[in-house]
Amino acid sequence: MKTAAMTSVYRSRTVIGLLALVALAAGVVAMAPRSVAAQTAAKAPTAIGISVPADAQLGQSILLQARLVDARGTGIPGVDVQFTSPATFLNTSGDMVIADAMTDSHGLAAAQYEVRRTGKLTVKAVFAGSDRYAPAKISAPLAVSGDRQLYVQDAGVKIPGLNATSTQQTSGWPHWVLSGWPIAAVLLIVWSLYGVAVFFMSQIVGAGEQPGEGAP
Amino acid sequence: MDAVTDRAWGVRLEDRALAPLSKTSWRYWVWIASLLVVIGWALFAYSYQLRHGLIVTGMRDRISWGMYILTFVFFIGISHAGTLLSAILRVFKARWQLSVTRMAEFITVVALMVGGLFPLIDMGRPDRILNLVWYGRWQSPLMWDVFAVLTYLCGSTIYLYLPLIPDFALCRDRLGPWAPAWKRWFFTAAAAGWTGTPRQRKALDRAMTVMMIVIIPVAVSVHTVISWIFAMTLRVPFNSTVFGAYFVAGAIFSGVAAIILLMAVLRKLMHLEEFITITQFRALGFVLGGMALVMVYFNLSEYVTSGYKMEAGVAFHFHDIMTGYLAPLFWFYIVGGLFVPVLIMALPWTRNIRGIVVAAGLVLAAMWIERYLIVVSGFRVPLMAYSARPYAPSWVEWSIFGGAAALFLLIISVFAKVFPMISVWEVMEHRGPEEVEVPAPATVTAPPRRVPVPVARSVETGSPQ
Repeated sequence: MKTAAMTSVYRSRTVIGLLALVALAAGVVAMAPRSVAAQTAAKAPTAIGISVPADAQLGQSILLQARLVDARGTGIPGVDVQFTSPATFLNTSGDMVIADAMTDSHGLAAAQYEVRRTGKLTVKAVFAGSDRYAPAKISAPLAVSGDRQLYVQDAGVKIPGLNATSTQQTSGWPHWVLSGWPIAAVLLIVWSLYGVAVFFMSQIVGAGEQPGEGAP
Repeated sequence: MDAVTDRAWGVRLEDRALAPLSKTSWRYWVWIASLLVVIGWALFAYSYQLRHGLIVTGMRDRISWGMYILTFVFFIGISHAGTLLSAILRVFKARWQLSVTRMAEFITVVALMVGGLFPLIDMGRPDRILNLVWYGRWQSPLMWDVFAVLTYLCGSTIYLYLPLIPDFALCRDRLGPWAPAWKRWFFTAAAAGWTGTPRQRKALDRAMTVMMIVIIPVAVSVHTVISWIFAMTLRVPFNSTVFGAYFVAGAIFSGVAAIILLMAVLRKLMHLEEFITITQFRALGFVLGGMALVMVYFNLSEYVTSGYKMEAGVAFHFHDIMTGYLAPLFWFYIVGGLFVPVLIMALPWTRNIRGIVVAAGLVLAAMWIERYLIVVSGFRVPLMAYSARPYAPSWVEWSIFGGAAALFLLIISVFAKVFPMISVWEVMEHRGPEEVEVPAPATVTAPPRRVPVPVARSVETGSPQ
């Protein structure tokens, strides 16, 4: 009797244990990454087109456009498209992101890019893919010419009176007077103190003994 | 006895301080001639640069600051300690420094004169210096630098001249009837009618007080502005908020080293052992050691904070100076220029004149290298997608650098023949003879006795005339 009851308990525990193992295995299988092929197969195919000017001047701001569509040719809205260009820095080569944009309701992504290198460049439009859509990319050539200086100096911090004088000044004073007065003021103070010292020094000349007076 | 000792000591001081003004050995002329040869070679190198342009230097578009700018910073740094240290010690009435203030002030003026040439040399086209006047802009740190250096040079010259007045009078009064007329005229004019009356003393005291107070912020501002030329340039290694304080500390550090070296040389050549003693060397040595620790702190602060973030440019810079191209120079600077001088001053058996002079030599060399590291490593970090270029000064740059060093020594040598290199009146009035160690007779085993000698003379009795 006692043995039969214990056997029943063991059986029920065994069943529970087996169920737990099955649940665990099911969970592991559910969480395991699916193969890339399975993922790709599940995603909708996409196609991307690019619009880039054929040539541009160095420093010119150009419009980069890409249109992302699904298999039926309908624009895919609300996804990120990156524009890249091959670059080399030190010993590393790769695609440098030069701009990125979100597609609009027609699947159109547009970004402005200031061209900072000359030569025959390649611009790529890259959609990295999403849960629903497969990745896509396309490239287009861009010929850049010119030799202008791109770096234009400008003060980051503008201090009134030092390097930032209002252009509305109507005082009649030359601009250079108004723009440098803090430095001029500091120099005036220092040189005035020098002047005081020289004044005291000049008193030495007249305060000496005249010949025949005798030393104190 | 005391009065006799004082009088004899004063006579010896005058004799020693004024001796170079009247006696000139053949060695001096050989020394001057050799300096002139070096300067002549440098002039030839400079004329070569003028004819062919800066292409004859090691500078190119990627490293466009090199030997000239770092030497400019180095000399301005040396100039710093002279007047600054002299003024600070005068303000705090430290008497030990009186016998070396004149040398320190000379170093300031001469270093400024020589250092100020380098921006001109670096320009390649010196005639374009006037563009600073015609087209200079107030927002440019280069303009601030020009004003700061000129203001400091003028202030330092006034500050040098003021305590020279009583000594010029001393020279005027000691001139014998055989003295050349130009010398008599020069000392009479330079002495400004000084006879040491109370009114003259009061006027001199007032003038010196004004100058010693105003010259301190001016000196600090000069090197701060020079650091801003770097810190306001778009270069990764120069992106530092502590550059101003770091440059000021570095300037005082190298300047003190220069004073110690000059002091040691003049002490030996002019036989000033009685007046420049271990007291001055130890005091300046402690300042040197203290400044070395300050520099260690600044370096640590700089490298730890920027290394913690380690932006791309900083990583390149760190690799460059610590394990790469510039590593031997960097580690010499850190070990030889910062830690060894501290060690020398910390150990009692190396804390002597020879040890302190060695420490000063190491510091001076290391601080020149430190400027090399700042300038060259700063420009080596690529701004765009190009490979970092090496920099090596050409023979033209080395020649001009050598010429500048020779010019510095030449002016000091000439000044030492025209001006007393010790402020005789100040030392006599405010310091007096120190305690001297009298060695015990050889037959006695007891340690040397210290014989106290009265040190202070009152202002009233110690007339500088």
